[in-house]
Amino acid sequence: MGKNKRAILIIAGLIIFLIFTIAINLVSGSVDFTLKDLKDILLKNRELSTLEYNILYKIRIPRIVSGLLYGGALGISGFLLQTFFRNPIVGPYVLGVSSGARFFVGIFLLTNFSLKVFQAGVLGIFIASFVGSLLAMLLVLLFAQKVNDISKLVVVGIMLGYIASAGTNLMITFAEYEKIASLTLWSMGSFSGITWDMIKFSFIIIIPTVILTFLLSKPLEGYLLGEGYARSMGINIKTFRIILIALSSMLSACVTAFAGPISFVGIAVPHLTRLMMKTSQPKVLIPGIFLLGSSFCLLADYFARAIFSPIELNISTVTSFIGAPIVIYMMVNRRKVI
Amino acid sequence: MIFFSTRDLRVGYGQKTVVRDIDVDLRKGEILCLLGPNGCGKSTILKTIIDHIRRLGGSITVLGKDINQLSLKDRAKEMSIVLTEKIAPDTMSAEEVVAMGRYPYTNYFGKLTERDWQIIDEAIDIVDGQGLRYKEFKSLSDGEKQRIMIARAICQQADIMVLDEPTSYLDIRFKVDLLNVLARLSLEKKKTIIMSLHEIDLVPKIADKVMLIKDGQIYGYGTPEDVITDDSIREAYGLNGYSFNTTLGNIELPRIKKPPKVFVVGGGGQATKIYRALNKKGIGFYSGILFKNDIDYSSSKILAQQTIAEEGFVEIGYEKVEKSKELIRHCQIVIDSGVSLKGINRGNYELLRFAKKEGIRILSLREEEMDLGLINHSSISSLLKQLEDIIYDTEVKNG
Repeated sequence: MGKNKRAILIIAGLIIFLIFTIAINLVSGSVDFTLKDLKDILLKNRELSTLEYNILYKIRIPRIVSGLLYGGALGISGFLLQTFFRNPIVGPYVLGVSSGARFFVGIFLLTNFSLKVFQAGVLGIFIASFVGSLLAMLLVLLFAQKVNDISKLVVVGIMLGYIASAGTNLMITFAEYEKIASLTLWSMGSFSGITWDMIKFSFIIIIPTVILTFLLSKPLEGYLLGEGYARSMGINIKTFRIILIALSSMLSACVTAFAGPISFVGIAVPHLTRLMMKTSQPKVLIPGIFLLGSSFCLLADYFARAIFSPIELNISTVTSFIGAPIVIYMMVNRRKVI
Repeated sequence: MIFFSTRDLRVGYGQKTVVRDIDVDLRKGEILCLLGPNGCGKSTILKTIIDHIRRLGGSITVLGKDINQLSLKDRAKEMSIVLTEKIAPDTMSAEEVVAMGRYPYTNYFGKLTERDWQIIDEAIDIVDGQGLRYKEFKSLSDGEKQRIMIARAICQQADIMVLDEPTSYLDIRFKVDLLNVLARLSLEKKKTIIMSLHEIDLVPKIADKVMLIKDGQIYGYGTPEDVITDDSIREAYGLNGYSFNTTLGNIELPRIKKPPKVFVVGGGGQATKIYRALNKKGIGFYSGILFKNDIDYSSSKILAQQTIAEEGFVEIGYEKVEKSKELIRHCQIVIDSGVSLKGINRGNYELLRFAKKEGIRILSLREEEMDLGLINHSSISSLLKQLEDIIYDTEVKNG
């Protein structure tokens, strides 16, 4: 009972925090708005200039919406992987999934290799990134059956990541300069330049996936005691494994496709949420993780824009600076963690 | 009526058969213990029964129906498990772990009803776990964790419980507590329990049926009284030179093979600890005159170079006394465990008198002196210390 109350309070807190991060991203930038401006705009008391209109509707709002969507998606993706491996330090980045995605996006962007489906632009990058993530994940899973030690598996993931990176570098060596630039830009990870079209597409992928994850709260909870017990409680492990991996890959692939590989959100956010809520129950964690992931990314994006303004950092720079220390802290204090 | 049975069950991994021809019949509420040396296939059998590894052949039926015909959910209501693998779920309280047992019964979102909470509460009561309830599961000791996992299994309200070595990692108290809980579950709740155990001494106290496994073969299956004998245990476990007394549930290390220097006058269970201490220190000894129904007799038979024994409830005979005197004559020291010297035991009094006459020192745990020239000690440790000093001195003297 006490736990539920705590969870509701924290969810409420996270919503307020999210609104705060949305607000600071909305008002600050090359053209500053005040909160009063925003209120007036909302109540249609104030006409926007064309410049203001463009900044707000074509740059800031899409950027905020994408941060919101992708942050949440990365958090949920990490949560699914952590549930699957029963280990709080795995995430799409650690297991080589992002590098796999980058490799395939590399094939798409750098080489002349093209399939019909790849020519659909936005969708092309998405498909490449999705296939890359999924293949990397499948490889990791293949090894997961051979090695049952999680630390070895993480090493396998890192090695696979290196191989994928080497492959990408190989392609870079022979690629034309402009193509390299577009891959590099993509690899840096950023919420800038995301269009409403991309957002619509992401929305269609991410929201149903997250809802589906939420609907799977019960088996996800059953999974907490390990596969042996999960099976004895009536969960069809084989099917469930595939669903877990598919959902997780879907989310990280979508984010990676449009915003590039964003590190550490997937590892740090689920664990931070768990620490805050002091529970492992997926049905309360999932909304919490989504909210915290969103605000984490929006805050990181705000820093990315604000710290060296007008020069913009890429988002992974910020998430790594914040996320990596959190991961180290988690590893060191693993036993002591509540 | 037979509740659970297996026929021609063959278990193993992939192509490799580990144990074959497993035929088990259990009535509702019976406890089956699997017993056998490490790696004999106990876990493989259990894993096959709970369907964690694929059955290689044969049938497993509950009330005549093969369990493979059940849906996963129905199966979960039929069979609950406690595994050896350690789990460490983050931020889960013991109560939450127990509540997981309700999984097959709750609605789509796993909502626990009033009734579920009652069952959870009762399960926690059974394992005496109310004090652990709100603690973090990961912070519990191994024994406490095991109790919680059992409460979880109880919550699942399955008729069959399968436990893989539930007593490992537990200290003696929790072991006994745990087995007591299981015994009560079988008696009061009519749970049919299938488990592997390592404690040969505890098995006969809890099991209705025992399966003794050796090298992939069923060495014996039946009631513990039939299956667990000194010989079957020695054979199945390959005890070379060791010997497990299945009546007493006791095992002694093999005897040190050194020429005896000591004669121990024992009896009434007062000498067993002395035998063990001597054997541990590598001091060979004779012992007598014991009655064959004496508890010291069973350990002396294993540890002493030679044991002089008389039939139970019969006065020690003249010839036993003479035989003992012969042995004493070759000893440096006699140890008197403090056994009664009266009545049918008078023969032992004769031995002490003989030792005094021969000038052999008598180290004694007896409280009174008795005019036998006893060197009295209040503890085995002080007695042994003097004994070792004497032996050491003699060895130095004799070079």
